[in-house]
Amino acid sequence: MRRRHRLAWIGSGAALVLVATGLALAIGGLPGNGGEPSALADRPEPRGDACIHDDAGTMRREHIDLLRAHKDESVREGRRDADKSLQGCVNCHATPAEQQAQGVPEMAFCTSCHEYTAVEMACFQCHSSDDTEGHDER
Amino acid sequence: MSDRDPGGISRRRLLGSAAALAGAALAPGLFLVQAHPDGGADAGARWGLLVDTNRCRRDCRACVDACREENGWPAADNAGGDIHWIRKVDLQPAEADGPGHSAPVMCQHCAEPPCVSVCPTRASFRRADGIVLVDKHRCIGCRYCMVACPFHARAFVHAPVDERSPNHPRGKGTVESCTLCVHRIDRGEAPACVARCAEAGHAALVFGDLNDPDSEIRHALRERSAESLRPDLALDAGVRYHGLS
Repeated sequence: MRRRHRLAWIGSGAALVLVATGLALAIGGLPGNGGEPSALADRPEPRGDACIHDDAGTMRREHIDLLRAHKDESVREGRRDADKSLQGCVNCHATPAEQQAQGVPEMAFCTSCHEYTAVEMACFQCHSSDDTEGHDER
Repeated sequence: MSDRDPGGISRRRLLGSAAALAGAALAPGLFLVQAHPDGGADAGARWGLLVDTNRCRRDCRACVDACREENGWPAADNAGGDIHWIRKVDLQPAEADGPGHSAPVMCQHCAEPPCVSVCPTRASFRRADGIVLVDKHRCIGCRYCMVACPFHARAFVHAPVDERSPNHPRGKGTVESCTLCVHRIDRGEAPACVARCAEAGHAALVFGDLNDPDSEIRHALRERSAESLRPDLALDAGVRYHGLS
């Protein structure tokens, strides 16, 4: 009898958790699928037709791994691909000159998200952030 | 003792057929040797330089200036420390009234580079085509390579440097040296120092593939005797000097 009671308690608890999760999903949507935080809304629009990966979510998650892999390929093996290089990123994602004149930082596309997520970004301490369309390296 | 198993296949035959299968898999595409089907450093090449010290002018610094402009390293009084990739060295004449020589000294791109041997993080490495480089994402700034290099070819960046070349990222706390303008070589161009020396009309620097018997540098080496700096160390340098002795 006591055992049946305990099972009933566990069952109702599990049901409650499921209902709560369902409600949360119904209200907030799937994680990562909802609208962007307002802190990121005003970042500059990228130029160019397409990124090296179609899915923005994949780029958000994996861009540093893609960059690291490209660094190994280009520096150590000499297989260069201008589109995959950090300079390739800069050429499309650097803030356009007219927006920079209005006070938007040069790499606001990166920094808006990095500041929001509190992930330090040190790329441009060493790498040039100059837009070098036409003779891009690394 | 027999090496036959109950099934009747000898161990030796089994191993032999496995080796034959492996050979067949390797033969059509030669997977183990064709490392970079989509380009990349050519393992068959060995890039090198010939410095003709008879043609190098003592008062000319065109190669140094070209290197600085191409790779963005600052002037000698910079805050980042004494960053230099290439420097001009005046050589004393062997005889009292003999002609003195002048020559640029940079990373000698050794086949047996001591900087690579001593690097604890494998940041110093030799590319497949013989260019010795620093992978700055791996460099921890220990400077063992600077101690190991007998040519004083490497420099350490002590402080943040404002100048940043798209051709060469530069950060505090890492070691750097002549890359033989690897970014230009990968585009099919000669290093900046070689191009500028030719523009200046001296043509004291000859660049090319030491493994290619038809290359310009091989032709030059057949006509002019050349030796490495510190041949006693047997490092098999990729940079050779004509007119030292």
